[in-house]
Amino acid sequence: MRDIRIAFRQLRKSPGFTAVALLTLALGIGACVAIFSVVSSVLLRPLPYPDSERLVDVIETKLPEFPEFGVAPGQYFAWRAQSTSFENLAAIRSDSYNLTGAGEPARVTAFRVTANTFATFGVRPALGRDFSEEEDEPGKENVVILSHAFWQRQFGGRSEIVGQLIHFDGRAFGVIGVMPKNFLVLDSPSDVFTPAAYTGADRQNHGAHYITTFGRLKANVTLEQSRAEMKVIADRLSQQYPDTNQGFGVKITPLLEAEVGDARPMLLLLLGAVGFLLLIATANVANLLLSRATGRSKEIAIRAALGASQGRIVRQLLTESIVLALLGGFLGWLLAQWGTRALIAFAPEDLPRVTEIFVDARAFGFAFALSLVTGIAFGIVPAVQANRIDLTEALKEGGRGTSEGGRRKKLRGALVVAEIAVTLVLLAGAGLLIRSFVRLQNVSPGFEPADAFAVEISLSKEKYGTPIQQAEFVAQAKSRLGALPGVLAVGASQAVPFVGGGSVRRFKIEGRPVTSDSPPSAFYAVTADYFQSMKIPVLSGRALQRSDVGTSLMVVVINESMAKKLFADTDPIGRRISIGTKAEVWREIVGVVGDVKHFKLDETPPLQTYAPFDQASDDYVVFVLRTASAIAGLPPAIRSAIHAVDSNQPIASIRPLREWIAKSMARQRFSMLLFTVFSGVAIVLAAIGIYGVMAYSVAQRQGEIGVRIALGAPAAHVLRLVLVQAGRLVVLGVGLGLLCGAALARLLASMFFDLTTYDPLTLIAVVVLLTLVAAAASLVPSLRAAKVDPMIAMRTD
Amino acid sequence: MGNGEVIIRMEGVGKVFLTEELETHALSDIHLSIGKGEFVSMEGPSGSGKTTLLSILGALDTPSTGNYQFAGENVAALRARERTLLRNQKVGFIFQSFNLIGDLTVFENVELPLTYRDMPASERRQRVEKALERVGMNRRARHVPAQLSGGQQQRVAVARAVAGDPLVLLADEPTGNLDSSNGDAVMGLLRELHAEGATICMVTHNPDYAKQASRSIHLFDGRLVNESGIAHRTFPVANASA
Repeated sequence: MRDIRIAFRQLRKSPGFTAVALLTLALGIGACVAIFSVVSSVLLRPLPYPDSERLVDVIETKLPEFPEFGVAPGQYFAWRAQSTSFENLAAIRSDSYNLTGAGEPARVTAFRVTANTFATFGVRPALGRDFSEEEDEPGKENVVILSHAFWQRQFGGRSEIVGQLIHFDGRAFGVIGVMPKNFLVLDSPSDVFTPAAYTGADRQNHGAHYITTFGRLKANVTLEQSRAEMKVIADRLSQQYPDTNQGFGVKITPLLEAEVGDARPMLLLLLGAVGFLLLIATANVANLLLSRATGRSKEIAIRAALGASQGRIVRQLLTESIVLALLGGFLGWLLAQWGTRALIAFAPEDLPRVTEIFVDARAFGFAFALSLVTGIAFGIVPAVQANRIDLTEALKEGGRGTSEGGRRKKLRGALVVAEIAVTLVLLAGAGLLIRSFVRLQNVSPGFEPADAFAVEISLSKEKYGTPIQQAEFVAQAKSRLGALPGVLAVGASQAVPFVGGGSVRRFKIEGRPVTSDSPPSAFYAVTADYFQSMKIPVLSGRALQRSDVGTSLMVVVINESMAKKLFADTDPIGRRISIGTKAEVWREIVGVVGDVKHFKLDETPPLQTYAPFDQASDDYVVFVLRTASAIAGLPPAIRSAIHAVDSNQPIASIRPLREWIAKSMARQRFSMLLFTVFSGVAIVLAAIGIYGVMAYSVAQRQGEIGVRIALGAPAAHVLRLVLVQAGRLVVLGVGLGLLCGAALARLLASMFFDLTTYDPLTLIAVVVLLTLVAAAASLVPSLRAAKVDPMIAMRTD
Repeated sequence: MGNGEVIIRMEGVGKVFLTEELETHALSDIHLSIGKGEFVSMEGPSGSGKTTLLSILGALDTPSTGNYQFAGENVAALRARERTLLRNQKVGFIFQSFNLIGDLTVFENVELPLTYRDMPASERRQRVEKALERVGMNRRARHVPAQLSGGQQQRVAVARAVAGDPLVLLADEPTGNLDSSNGDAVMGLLRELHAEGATICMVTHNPDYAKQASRSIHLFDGRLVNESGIAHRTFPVANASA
């Protein structure tokens, strides 16, 4: 207690030191705790379901090209019938409805779920009841369970809604329940849940992979046992259904890992980056403490002379540093509350479990432990150094109680060198990520995203249930959208890159056998002017035409990669392919267009096929509007145009294509942004560190500098003297940083787009920046040294 | 006023400071015995080795050569921890610049060496109050050093030195930073303590104060050159626990 009391007294005594140290620690610890909160919430905290460690993700694989593949409903029902490892095996697929008769028509996101879905999660509706097995059959599925958020938003949280009818796509659904607050299926928000009600044909479909399955393992079954059993079942199904199942396997992953696994490298990288920041903060505070210890050497000598053992002195100084660190840690914890909210605000939309992120007790424990470790880390060196004081000298009247020993000076220099090195590593990391991001931004997606809007629409299944009805709506909407001022072209597709939709389908080439390793292709049903509106170049043959309708010749356009891969030495135009596994429908290849990236700019474009919308229409459609630049007020005009065709038709979204592409780069942007912020803080801390060491050094050398000036040293000489001293530290720090930076560059190169481990331009830029900052930080002490009054300086020596 | 027991015995003690280029002999061949209850003053010009000798006497430093026994213990053979214990329990220091800790109150300063003995708080309080009363500073117990005059600070330093009942009081120019009246007052205190049986070894430049000691030794160039007062003699070695 006595040591703690003295520690507080010391902090009060030097408010400037205390403020700088606390701010530095709060920044370092706060950043660490904020990122740790995200890591802890996303990666470490169990999923919010009972016995969640027994939940597994079950997906198909088709190695080597598809390590993860959607599940065909036939497969799901076969697994369910044949496996014994699961307490429950559930399946879901996303869908959407148009809600009518409850105010403004609205698009409602839905999950079509098997009746055992909520039981698999171990969660029951908060209000009402769960689906029955009977309701999960075709014709009996007009029941709905609402999500808590949708219930609140749409029905004001009224419990009487349970038992009432609501209308989706013109069909009446009985509301039977409301799920608990914050309940999410596989971390995906959904407004409502309706029964999947697979038909007999669905249950036999082993070729269309469009559902997601997950299960709850029996309590006595291990992951390995379930994997072994499912491998046997998958092999059996491969033999049983060779046309559709050959080469397919099953992958079982703990659900937590499946949900968050792909975010792990990014989050751990960021945790490492803030760890570096904390190292810099620790080095800075250690330096401050070393300076203060020099000033306190007389006090330490007195204590030693009076009988304080080395251990006792170390204990007292460590108590002081730990008290300081705990206070800094507390401030950091407060800062982390705000920082975590900021992180969530800037987090990419696809960051898993983002709604579960908060600074919890585990984060508080982390902050406490981190503060304790940090306090010991930055306190131990000055504490041990304090025991190396020459007592006789320190206790003398006018003794060198306040001067700095060579060892301590070297140590302070070493700490600054380490700070510069770590700062350089962070700066290099930020520089590399910025380069990667800029390169990624410059990657052509294969179409022109500027001056283009995407309008997403899910057509009512009731009203637009047939291809003719769908095609009719699309034609009318295109006509109205095309008439809008400033709109140059309008295309439509049931799948638009970076926006949504799309499927991967198997295909056959006429005259060639289908092998198990035949690659599938991404399928797009597009209108004739889609390529024009997207500005996708036609490389050979022709684009689709208005005359390519349902009754005309069945045609298809393929992409360049497909032409090269499958028709390398021949002209693909005029060849015929059949897309899909249902009845053979031969389509003539009439053109080859440029490759288009679908999900990410850094992906290799898949094989792509484009069929006329009239020949393969869908109830999900995206209109692409090519516009003259700077069209103001277009979204309301688009809305009016669509509602002029059908006033009850909701519009899911109207967004520029650029925004969709930007969304696809959100993770890279997030990493880059945080790295840049961290390196910015790091460089400020390093500058403070360099300034502190140089300012202290100048103060210590005042006498010597005074003598030099008295002997006629010009100001430039003194200036150079100090700058050279700082320069040595910078050179050493930069050298060390470059070595460590190489290791980080290797790691980043494996994670981010188009990065090489050796990027001279980035490294040169970083070194120049750091050198300039170091020079600026050293300049003030240098100028102060050049202005030393020799008389005063020599008197104070 | 020695009673015959030797507290300090030095035989051929020397101290050499080594720097990168230089070997400095701060003390050479010191033979010195101080008996219990003696008041010894040490004189000599600057750089003669007085402070170095006092540091070795107080176990702040160790001799490079020779044999030094403090209350029967061979100080040169003691480990740092044992020397710390010796300083804490058997030596009381009074410095020229008082060396009070500015952040601590008068009470806490005097209490400080006792806290290192892990003495119970009640006993500490008793001893501190007694020591402060002894030097007339008990009414200033809650003050911090900056609120005291130089003379008052040195009286507090004396209280701190005597609070632990040490075998020896080592005073390094205790009046050096004081005006004559305060210097006289501190010397008066030391005389009183000596009269009560304390063993005191004091470095001073002031011949008048040196005369108040029962014995005076002179150092020059690191050597003991002259001794006045009680003749140099050998005392029987005191019990280590005395």
